[in-house]
Amino acid sequence: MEIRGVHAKVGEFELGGIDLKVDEGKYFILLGPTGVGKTILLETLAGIHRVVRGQICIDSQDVTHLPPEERRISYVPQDYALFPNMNVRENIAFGLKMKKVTKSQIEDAVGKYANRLGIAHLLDRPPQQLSGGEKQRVALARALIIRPRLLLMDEPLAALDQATRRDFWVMLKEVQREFGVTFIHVTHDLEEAFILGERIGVFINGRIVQSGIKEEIYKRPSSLGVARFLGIKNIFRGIVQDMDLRKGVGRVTIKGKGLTFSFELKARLGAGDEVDFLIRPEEVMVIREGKPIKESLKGNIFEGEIRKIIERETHHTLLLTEVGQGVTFEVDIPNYVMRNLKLIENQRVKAALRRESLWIIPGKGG
Amino acid sequence: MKALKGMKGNRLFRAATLGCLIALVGFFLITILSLALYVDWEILLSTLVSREIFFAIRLSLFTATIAAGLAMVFAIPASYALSKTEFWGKNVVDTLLDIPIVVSPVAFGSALLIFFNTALGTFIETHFLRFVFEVPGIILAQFGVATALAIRLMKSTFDSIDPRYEVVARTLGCGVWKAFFKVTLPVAKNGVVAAGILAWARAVGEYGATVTLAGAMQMKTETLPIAIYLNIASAQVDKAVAVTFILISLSAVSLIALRRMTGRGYSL
Repeated sequence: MEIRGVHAKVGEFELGGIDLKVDEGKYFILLGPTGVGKTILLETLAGIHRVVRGQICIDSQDVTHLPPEERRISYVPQDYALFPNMNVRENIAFGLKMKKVTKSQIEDAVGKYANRLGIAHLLDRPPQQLSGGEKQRVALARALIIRPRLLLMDEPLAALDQATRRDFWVMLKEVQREFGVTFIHVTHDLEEAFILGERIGVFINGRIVQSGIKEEIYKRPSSLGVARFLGIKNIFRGIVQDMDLRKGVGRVTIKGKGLTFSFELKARLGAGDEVDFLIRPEEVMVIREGKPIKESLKGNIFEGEIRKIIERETHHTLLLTEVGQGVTFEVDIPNYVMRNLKLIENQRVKAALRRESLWIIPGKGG
Repeated sequence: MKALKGMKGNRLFRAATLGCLIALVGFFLITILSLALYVDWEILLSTLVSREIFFAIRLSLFTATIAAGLAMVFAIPASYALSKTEFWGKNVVDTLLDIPIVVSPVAFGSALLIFFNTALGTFIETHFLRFVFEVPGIILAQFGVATALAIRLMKSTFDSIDPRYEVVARTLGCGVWKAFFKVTLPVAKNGVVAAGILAWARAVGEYGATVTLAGAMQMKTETLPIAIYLNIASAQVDKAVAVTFILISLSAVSLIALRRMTGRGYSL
């Protein structure tokens, strides 16, 4: 599926110049804060809103001006929109019935999809009697049964409790692989995005501002806006000092602090450029006394004092203040490492930033 | 103000609100009871089988059914458009459709009467159908009043229906018509039934606009409300009371049907 320069206007809201390519059979996550037009983008893809400019292609067929019923794009809205006047069986069968498929074929297909999604025991129930998770499964079965070329899901797990959501993470991915349907899944939840998405598009203010594989988005956000939305800590304003093009290494100083780190050169920069740079909390290392220091850490070592230790489910977060300049870093340490290191508050430790993990946000910054 | 706080205040508040409710129920009960006590059952029966009242019942049922049917034919699509479509001047249209509800029916009837005195109105009367002082006039007057009510009810029904039902239905292969008839309309069923019954009941009870446009002619444009008026005007109070009783019974039956068919009390 490919969309090129799509503009759509719905009431006061304007969707501006969307470009996006999703390969067939992939799980694509559209990640963005709530209320920025993600639903409108999905509905535009489904054919509900008129495209003012641009093109939407599926399997190299231009569907920009096709009505929704001719696109073969299924849609699962956030509230699932199960038809309240039909029971679960009729809801799932709806799409096939509209296509005038024979009764016995419909029955077989409904049975197959209901079994696969674990809702065979609910077929005669009205949707009003289902739990959130059950509704989601029915909506998914109803959307998949027509064998769509593309399945759009709008915040499908937002209304579910944490345990049910975790079950769905596994199930959604399995179902997607099994049926080989291209999924576009909209969410505002970072964890959900990184667990499910093979590729992720970050959607802010009516535009896709960055799109790529998750590692790329996660470690190398294209702008400060993306970095902030991703909740990345340890973002600093800095000035590029010098560059060694032969080694592919540069040095950057935190503005006004005189604390300098080296980084791997990945973009065209000039000495004296003002930039934003970041390092993810899990990429900051606490160095064990007496342990040999890796080459990539050299030049990025500093002494810090642990100001606070916050215990989390899978890791501990340290607030580590560098001793000389008073710059504070957030450091995430897995629980098992924490147990070995036996760190306590107010302790002084040596820490280092991995050179390859230090990311300079391209452009002028700001 | 101290007395209005605390437990004493709570009791006072409950007493005040419930008191008003009891007073109102009492008012309506006394009115209906006095009517029931006044009715002479023998006269009621003889009135029922009298040619004049039998005619009025038949005419009322006939005109109200056609008027309510027509009202629904127009109100369902119109209220759908009002609920789901954005267009310039929507607020003005919305207000305009409320006119028959808030304006006195006599005034509405007069406006219709005046329209049929204009060139266009006269043309319609001479070439198509006669409305003034004729049965179609009754239907038209009832239609005007009943439609406004039906639109109001249907619009709130459509407003309450999740627009995503149609969106999903369309992605599953329905065109706009099919999505409306297979999903939206069946989901709106209770609201449609309620609007139909209330429009019919309103049409049966319509007096002001009808009498102004179609006149009060015995055995010609004599609907039940007009029969009450004619009998009171000619001092046949017993007969008038009997007809009133019939009219109230019809309304009561509609209300019961409404509750039965929609499975609950329908709130306006």
